[in-house]
Amino acid sequence: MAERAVSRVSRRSVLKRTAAGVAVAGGLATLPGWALAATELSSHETDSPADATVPTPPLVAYVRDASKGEIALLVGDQEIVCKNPSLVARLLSAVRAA
Amino acid sequence: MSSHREAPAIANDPVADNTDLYAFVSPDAPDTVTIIANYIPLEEPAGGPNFHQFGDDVLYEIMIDNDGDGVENVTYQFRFTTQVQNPNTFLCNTGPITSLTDPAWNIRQVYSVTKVVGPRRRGPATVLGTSLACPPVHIGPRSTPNYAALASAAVHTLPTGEKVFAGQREEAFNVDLGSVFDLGALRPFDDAHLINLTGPQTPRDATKGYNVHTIAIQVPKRHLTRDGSSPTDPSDPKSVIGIWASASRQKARVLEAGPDLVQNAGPWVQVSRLGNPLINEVIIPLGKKDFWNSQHPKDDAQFAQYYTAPELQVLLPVLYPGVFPNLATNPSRPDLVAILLTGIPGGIIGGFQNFTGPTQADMLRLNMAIAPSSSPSPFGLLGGDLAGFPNGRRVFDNVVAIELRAIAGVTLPLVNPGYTPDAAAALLTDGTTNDVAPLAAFPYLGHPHQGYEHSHD
Repeated sequence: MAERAVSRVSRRSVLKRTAAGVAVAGGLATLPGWALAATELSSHETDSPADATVPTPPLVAYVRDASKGEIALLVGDQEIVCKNPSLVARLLSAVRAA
Repeated sequence: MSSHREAPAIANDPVADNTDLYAFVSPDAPDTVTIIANYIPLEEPAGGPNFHQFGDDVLYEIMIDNDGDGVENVTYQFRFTTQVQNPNTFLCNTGPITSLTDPAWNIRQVYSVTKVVGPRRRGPATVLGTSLACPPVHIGPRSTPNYAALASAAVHTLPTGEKVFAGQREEAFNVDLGSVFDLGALRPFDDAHLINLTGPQTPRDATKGYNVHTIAIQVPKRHLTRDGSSPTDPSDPKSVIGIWASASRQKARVLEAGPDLVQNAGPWVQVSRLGNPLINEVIIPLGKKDFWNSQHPKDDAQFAQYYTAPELQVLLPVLYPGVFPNLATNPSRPDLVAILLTGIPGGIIGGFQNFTGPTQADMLRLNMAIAPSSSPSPFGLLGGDLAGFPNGRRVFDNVVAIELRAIAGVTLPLVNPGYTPDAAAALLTDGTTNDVAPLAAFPYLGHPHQGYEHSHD
């Protein structure tokens, strides 16, 4: 019979890193400023370099409404909707160029 | 499985598929209500090497509405965690499992219970219990030699007085799926069907020998009423609660080749729900089934048309020519709206009401002031048993026969005295029975069939 190991492996280990409220709050605070604002931003603000501090993965971003320039960010059990028409336009261009 | 694989999306997600919901005044503890929510349809007992279990990435919930607006006032949330003691073996167990802490038991699940007061995504939440053990699945005589003891050890009493169990149970619902979905045939009446087969056939319970995964909770009645009182008057609106269960997944799922193959992110999105039996199964049309699963009971007025003019009512006279001449007039069905969407008001059935108000919502409606019956009828209210379906739902209530007879017109005279049901309406049944008796105590559903030896015949 297989030897009994002492260590435990939890399939939820990844979810635990993302689902805890405190972790999510801390992760949110390290998001780039454009992601926290719900208002439309000017193009120069959206071109700021990526923040080196990122929330614990996964962070999923998707274009929620291209016509409105809306991007939704999914992290932990939260959804944050922000507007960034410039970024959406660049994403759509990348898709067309692919 | 009064709701199983009933919608296109959930048919491919058995771990999140609500199959049955039961709610009744506990017969051996009548100051409490037992609510049972089942998941994973047609669960084959011989399920190794990775036996069936709850989803670690699914949010399972049981909701109670005690003020009739179709919005939950109390929610019990269940989250599961799989624990693998030794990932270096393929074995679920390395020897006989004799206790819930037996080192031979390799793949285990534990769970937490959280109570939310008010809307389930906004109300204050209190964790009632953590690391509560599920029992192992019933593998066989070598691996789980004393299964009853293992299951008994997995009944937990929470500090706030609720009793909980989460694990594998025997499938208590019986139905001749093979015949019912072969153009609406009921084997006892095969000779009357439009496509006549050679004489009546012996009914076959398609769920025989299968298991489910059950979340059961027994709650003091006063925890569920709107004012904390213990209900004693069946005519009091406060005695009635609405109940439904659901399963939700996070909005995004990311698959990445590597040690963490699956990662989830985002808010919870409801992918399955269940109040009354058989609604999404045979009342809601195909094009709306996935949508129905995502919706909240408070918005169920949008589906009322399928209750007032059920498709099955049109089909029965076609499938059984000459048998349902009165039903063939296709009468409007406010009785079905009352029974299934608002509850039955007082004054229609002597000594009974389970009316929650004008808000149309699909919920099991339980009048907690009506005591368990000393001579229960599997036909519930139709059998003169006020403690049976649609007053909540007990494990042994024959909801297939009850709803078939109701849709065939038996209940229409309650609101339309001028309608005479066809004689055949009161006889409808698929002819099946469950061959395993329920337990006399919590969690009431029978012990699961073992993988080593079981039969579906």
